[in-house]
Amino acid sequence: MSDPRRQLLLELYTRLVLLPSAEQPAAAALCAENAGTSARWQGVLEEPPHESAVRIAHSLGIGPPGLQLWRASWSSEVQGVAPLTRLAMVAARLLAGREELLLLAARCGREPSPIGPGSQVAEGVLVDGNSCARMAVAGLDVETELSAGRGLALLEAAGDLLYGAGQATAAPQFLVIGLNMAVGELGARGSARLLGA
Amino acid sequence: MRLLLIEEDPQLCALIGHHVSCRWPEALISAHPPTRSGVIPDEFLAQGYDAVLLAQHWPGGEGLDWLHQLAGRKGFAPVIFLADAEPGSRLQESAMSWGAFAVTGRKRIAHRELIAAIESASLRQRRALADWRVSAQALESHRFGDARIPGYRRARLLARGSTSHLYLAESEKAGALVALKVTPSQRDESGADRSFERFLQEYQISERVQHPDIVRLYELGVADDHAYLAMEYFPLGDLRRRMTPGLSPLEALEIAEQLAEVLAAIHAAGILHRDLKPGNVMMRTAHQVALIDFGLAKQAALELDLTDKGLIFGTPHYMSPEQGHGRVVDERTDLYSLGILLYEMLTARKPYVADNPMTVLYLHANAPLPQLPEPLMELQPVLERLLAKSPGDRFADAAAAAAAIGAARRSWLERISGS
Repeated sequence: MSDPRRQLLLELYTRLVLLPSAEQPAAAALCAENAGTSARWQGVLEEPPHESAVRIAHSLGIGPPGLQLWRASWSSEVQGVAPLTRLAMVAARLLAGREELLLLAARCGREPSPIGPGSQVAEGVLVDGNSCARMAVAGLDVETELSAGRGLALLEAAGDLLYGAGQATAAPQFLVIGLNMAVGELGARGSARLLGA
Repeated sequence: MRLLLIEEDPQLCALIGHHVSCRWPEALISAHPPTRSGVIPDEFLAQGYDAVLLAQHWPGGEGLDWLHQLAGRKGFAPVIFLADAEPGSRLQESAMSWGAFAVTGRKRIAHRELIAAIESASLRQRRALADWRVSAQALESHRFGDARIPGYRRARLLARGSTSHLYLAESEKAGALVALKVTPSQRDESGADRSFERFLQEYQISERVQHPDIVRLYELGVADDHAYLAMEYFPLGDLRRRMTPGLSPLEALEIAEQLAEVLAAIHAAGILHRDLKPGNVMMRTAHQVALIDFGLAKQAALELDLTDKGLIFGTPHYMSPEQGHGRVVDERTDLYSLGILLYEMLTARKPYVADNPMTVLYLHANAPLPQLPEPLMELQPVLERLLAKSPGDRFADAAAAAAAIGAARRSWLERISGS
């Protein structure tokens, strides 16, 4: 039922966010190697979230199969998930129809919270090539909702919000992980093995 | 986490599945599209599921009606009603008063609300099942004659036979109603359980022949010295029931073509069915058949003949001349039976009828070939290639029969479409 690529991104995020920054590239490279693919650190996103989304989507779309990772430090005038909502909504529209592309973006700080199943507070997003289609199935018009400032509702309806335990620091730091991998390429191997577990 | 999702719209099914799998990556969701899968049989309690998600409506159906029906069943899994209406509406109140465990949005899914509702429902279901499993009622419900078979809840006895009894049961593992065939403990002087060997043969045949038009077998086992075989249950019944209101020639040809194709598959595996009759052709849907009962099936190359020597097994009305006279049979014996079935589907009567079985067998071998009425005469050549007295005059194999029946069906369709 579940897309194993989404699980891979979630598990990779969970693993990386618990490591010091200096150790993250090596850990990501190891994960990628286990997956039989590559991981490329693309540096720090300097632009605002919506402009970063364009750069990320372009890089993923033209790049080779594999993982791409960025860090960001958006000091938004609005705290919480607002920067991520902007990033995610632009990315979701740019990735639409590209089933091989996924993008996870989530907060990280010195005291990262666990993220994923069972958590309660939205602290990240995970969009893919079907996100906009799911929003439409939920009866939501993307443009209408965005113009009314309801991006978060769009992401919730599509099931694309990631929930944490609400213990992250207020530091506006983010980890962004993109994946270019066709559906089914990962299923047989399983994400646990890809992560070297 | 295991959920039953009663929803017609495949896109909504996928969306709900996405939300659920974000929380429970290993969740199993069985979709039940009401217009295609039909009503849920009265005996089904969804005990193999943590919860049932029920849509508010679908073309030609209302979820509230189903809710009333399902939630009213004692022991039914918690039902989460997926409503299109806004929270706090009268419809939500109605759903709760009619037994819904929770009400949440159908399209505008509030992720956390949905997940919380499923979590609570699952908790309640697991507690209820834990209580039920140690009850006297549960122990009694696992009883099938003298055998106690865990994991199956007896719904009712469907049929009592000389070599086995057939029950309707709910399988927790399959999450569905199943037909459960249970044998009396039956061992010969050598200690061999011949009933079990028959079941085993049937199971092996099903495993070997992977074809969608063959009954699905879920489990073969032994409990309290009784062999049992759990297989797919067909609420729509068999071809006999399907024929009762009458079939159009096109429907008859469609069914015959499907049967020829499935016979080709089992023959390719070296197996003969040898007992093709309306009672062994089940209706999975109004237009899709499933072949059952390989109890008489025989691998062409198998030395061990489980049917006793000197006895003729099978149904005389559908039996080929060579089978009826105890001669060597090959795959063309099944084609003859298919011919009888086709004739009966087209005319609503059997070609050879007599007061006793022996006379029927005599007629199969010696009576003139049956003639179709004038409006169906263009189908006569196909029928004659199936019903030829000599196997050598029949179609060479089931694939050839399927091709010929398919061509006749298309020709018939063109004719009625043009008229």
